[in-house]
Amino acid sequence: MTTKAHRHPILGFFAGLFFGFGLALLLFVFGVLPVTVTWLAILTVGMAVLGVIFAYTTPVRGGT
Amino acid sequence: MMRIIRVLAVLGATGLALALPATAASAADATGCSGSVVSKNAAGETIGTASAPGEGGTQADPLPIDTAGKVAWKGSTDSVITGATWKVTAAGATFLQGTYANSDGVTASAGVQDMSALPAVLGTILTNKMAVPVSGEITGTGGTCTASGFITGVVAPTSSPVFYAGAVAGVIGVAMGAGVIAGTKALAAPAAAAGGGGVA
Repeated sequence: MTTKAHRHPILGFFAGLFFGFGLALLLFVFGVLPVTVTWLAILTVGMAVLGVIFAYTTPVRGGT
Repeated sequence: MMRIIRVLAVLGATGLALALPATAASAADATGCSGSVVSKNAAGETIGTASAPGEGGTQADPLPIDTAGKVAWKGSTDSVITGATWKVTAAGATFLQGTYANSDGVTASAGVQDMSALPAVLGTILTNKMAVPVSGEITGTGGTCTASGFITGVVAPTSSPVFYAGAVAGVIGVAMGAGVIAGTKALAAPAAAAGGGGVA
């Protein structure tokens, strides 16, 4: 019997997008980073990409 | 709208600005011009000063702006600049620009700007921990004036809606990430699933 992993790269993308956007706002508010569109883009897009990678690398549950 | 433009132009062009980024409260800088700014709160108390060349307005020591207060400013260019274009950037993006004839050949100016001309919402968005880069540039016949620096607000971070927006977005992202983990499963091959038969 063969099995196939069911992954969610699109969900991972939006998870990273929201997380990166929220993280950027918090870092701005507390003065950790200067408020610039560059930092906002880096964190938001960067985390979205990491979210996709996360979706493809997270361990598969329920066997292999 | 014109008052807002004027306020922002003043903030950028008089070198409210004034500083090289990421240095502690060291000497600020401006090219082709100089200026100084005194920021006051609603009670008329001085809450910050910056000058170029001089101190203040750096990332480590941004100039506090109270949107219920006033800003006294003065600035001058090193030469007469006519037929100029100007632009103001904030947070790394150009959001205002225009032309400046200066047919009278003025090189110095001063005034007091009521900051209530700015949208009131800025007063709650700008926290006292933020460092927002602001810059201004005037380029025309006779020379160029550029100045840049950092401003900050007066409200506590946890009083800003930006804090809550960031927290909510972060929690949504984490929840979706948990969904990614929970939804990553091994599926049986179609042949095995087909063998299950139907239930009458």
